[in-house]
Amino acid sequence: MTVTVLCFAQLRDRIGDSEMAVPLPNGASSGDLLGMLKDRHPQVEPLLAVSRLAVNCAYVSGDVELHDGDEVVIIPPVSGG
Amino acid sequence: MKQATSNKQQATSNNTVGYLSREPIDVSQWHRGTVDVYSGASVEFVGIVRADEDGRPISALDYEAYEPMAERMMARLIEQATQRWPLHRVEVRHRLGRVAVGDIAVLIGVQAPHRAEAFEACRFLIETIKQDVPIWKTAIGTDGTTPKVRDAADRQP
Repeated sequence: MTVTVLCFAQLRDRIGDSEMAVPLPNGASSGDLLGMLKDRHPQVEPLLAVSRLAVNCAYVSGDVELHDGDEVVIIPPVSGG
Repeated sequence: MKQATSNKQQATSNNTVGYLSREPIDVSQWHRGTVDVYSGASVEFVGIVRADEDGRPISALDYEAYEPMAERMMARLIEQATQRWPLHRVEVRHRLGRVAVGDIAVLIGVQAPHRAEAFEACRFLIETIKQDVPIWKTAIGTDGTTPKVRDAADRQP
C-alpha cells in the first residue's frame, strides 16, 4: 500500500520535500512510517520527536494502523496566532 | 438558545471563504456585522505582527497552514465554543501568506449576552488555535531573508 506524507514548516525545510508517496507493507502502522522516516532522514529525528501526527485531517495519538491512500501529515510544533 | 452565527455560516450568502485568508483582515467588517440587541457584550482579540521575534527585528511573518485540517479544526472549535457558552455571533479569521509588521494576523470576535462568557469564549478560541491548529509562521528579517526563526520553533516543547 502507499500513503501520502505531507510535511510543513521546518520539517519540510529539513526533509527538502513537502509531499512524498511512501510505499509501506500492508498493515503498517504510523509507528512503522515514523521509523522509516527516521532511518531515511536522520537529521529530523529530534523534530519528529516533538511533532504530532494527523491522518486524514485529524490528530491521532499512539500507534495507529494506516491504510492505502491515507494522507498522513507530520505536524511540527504549531505557531499560528 | 439562540443559534450563533459565524463567518462560515455567512459564507453561503456573501461568498467569502473559510477561516483562513490570504487577503488583509478587515476588522471593520466584524464591527459592521449584525447587531444583536440580546448581546450585551462584544469581545474581540486582534493579533498583530510584532516588530521583533525572539529578540531580533523582523519585517514580516509568513504564515502557512495545512489548510483542510486547519479549516475543519476551526469550524469544530467554534462549535465547541458555541456549545459551551451562549454565543450569538463568532468570527474567526487567520491570515496566510506574508503579513507585514503592524498588520493583523488573526481576528477572533465573540458576541454574547454577558462579558464573562464573551471573554472566556474569545480566550478559549485564540488559545486553542495557537496551541492546536496546524498553522506555522516564519519570520522575515529586516533584510528580507528568513532568520533563525526555525530555531525558535524548535525550542518549543
